[in-house]
Formats: sequence, C-alpha cells, structure tokens
Amino acid sequence: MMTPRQAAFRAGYRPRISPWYSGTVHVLLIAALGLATIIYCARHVQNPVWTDWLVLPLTLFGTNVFEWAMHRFLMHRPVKGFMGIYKRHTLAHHQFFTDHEVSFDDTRDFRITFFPPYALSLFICMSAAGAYLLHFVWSTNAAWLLVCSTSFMYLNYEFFHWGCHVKNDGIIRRIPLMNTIRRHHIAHHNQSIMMNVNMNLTYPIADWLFRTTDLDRGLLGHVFNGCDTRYVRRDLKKARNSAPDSRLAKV
Amino acid sequence: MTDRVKVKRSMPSLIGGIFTGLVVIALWMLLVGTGFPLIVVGVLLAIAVGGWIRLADL
Repeated sequence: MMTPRQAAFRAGYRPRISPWYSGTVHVLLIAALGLATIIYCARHVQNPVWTDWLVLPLTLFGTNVFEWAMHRFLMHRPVKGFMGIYKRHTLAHHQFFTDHEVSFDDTRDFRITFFPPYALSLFICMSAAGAYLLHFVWSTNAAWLLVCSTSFMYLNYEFFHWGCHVKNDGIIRRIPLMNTIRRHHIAHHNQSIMMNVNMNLTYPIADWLFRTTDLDRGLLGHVFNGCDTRYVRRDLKKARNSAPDSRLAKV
Repeated sequence: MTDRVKVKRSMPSLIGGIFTGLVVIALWMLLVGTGFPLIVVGVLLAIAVGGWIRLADL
C-alpha cells in the first residue's frame, strides 16, 4: 500500500509531464531505434565462425557488469557532471516507485519508468566505437555481433524493467528469469537498501559476483530464483529506519 | 483530476533531441539508402523524432 509521501510525490509529478508526452510513442521509439540497429548489423554478419560467436557470451557478461556499475555508481550516487542521472533515478524514479507500490497506473507513467530515447542513442554510439576497435583486434563479424547484442541487451533491459513495474504480475510470475528480476527489482525499491543492493535489472549475475544482493544463494539460484523469498538475507544493512520491509511480511 | 502546471523543459531534452535526431538520420540512411528523396524523408523523420523528444521534455 502506498505511503502518503509516495502518493504526494506522484500527485506532484504527474501534472509536470508535458502534454506532448505519449508513453506509446516513447516505447515505439526505443523499440524502433533498437530493432533498426539490430537489423542493420545482423545483415552484415556473413559466414560467422565459432570464434565470432564467442562475442555473445562476453557481451552478455560485459553489459551485465556495465548495467550494474551504471546503476550502482551513477544512478545512485551524486557524481559531478552526472547529477541529472542521479536526480532522475534516485530522487524521482525511486520516489515514484517504492516496494510498497511498485506499479505504474497508465502509459503516461512510462515517462518515469523508461530511459529517454537518447540513452539508447548514446549506447549505440558507444557500442559502435567499441565495435570499430573490435574489428581490428578480433573480426568484422564479431564487431557487427557486438553492436547487435548490446542493442538487444538494452531492449532486454527495458522490457524486463517494464515487467518489474507492470501492475498485473499474473503471467510474469510464471516466466523464468523475468519473475526472478521482478522480485529482485521490487526488493531494490525498498528505500532503506536501494543504495547498495540488487543493482542488476536483467539477470542478477553482477550482483551475485560483487555480493550486492539481498539473496544468500549461488549463481544459478540467483538467476532462477523466481519469486522465492526463502533465501532473502535478514542481515542487510539498512540506510535508516524507514517503513518495514514489505517483502518479509509475505514470507 | 490533476491540475496541469507549466512545463519548464530541461536542457537534456534539447541536447538529447538533437543527438537522437542525428542518430535517426544516420540509421535511416544506412538502412534505406542515400538517394535525395530518401535523405529528405530521413531529415523530416529526424526532425519529428528530435522535436518530439524536446516537446515531450524527455
């Protein structure tokens, strides 16, 4: 149940969304940019050999650590030059969505759910720069596959994030991996632990690796944990006395 | 019903709009081609996307 503070934040935030904003256009634009990049790059992959495909697991791991690091060190830390990211995430997204009420009401709330489309544009350019270097040290196919896979992972991130904040979880609770990240991310929205715990939003691999997780179990257990709360650690450091941990009441 | 307040657009929406517009036209030309009419369509699309990002204050 929403706290009065969260309700007040939502009531103050929504009227400040531009009348030009459309959640549907926002989502379609992100999807179009990502898919156009994937299609263009995939068309250039020709007769790949097994060493070219090795770039895929490495990208999965690299993007997982990148997503974790961005979240932990930029989105939750006031770093000079990146204050906009901190304000948008910690001071807005985490006030709008808490573990007491984690769902959006309608598509206009996508304004505070998804990244703006220029984030994807920036990541495509960063990935293309990396691919340019990879083309010299690995292979041309590996370079195209790198941009394909990073763009795919970005869409994966946004889709899973939507799955974390959608109201009706009747289906998502039954989808492996997606149910894991929904529980993982809702736990992260507990404001007393959000600065240090559960930073992944696709697969909780880096959280397990760097021990920034609220679970006490192995890697496979983390990735396929689903909605299980039996392994939730009780010894997590809390930032301050806030509302009780709503997850523990459900155990 | 909520009262709508005047939206003060942020600088990131301006820079981000221009930047995304440039990415859109680059992707358009790479995917569709570089004939003159196609470039004109791509520029219009880029202006529409970039302009919307600014107006929507993303």
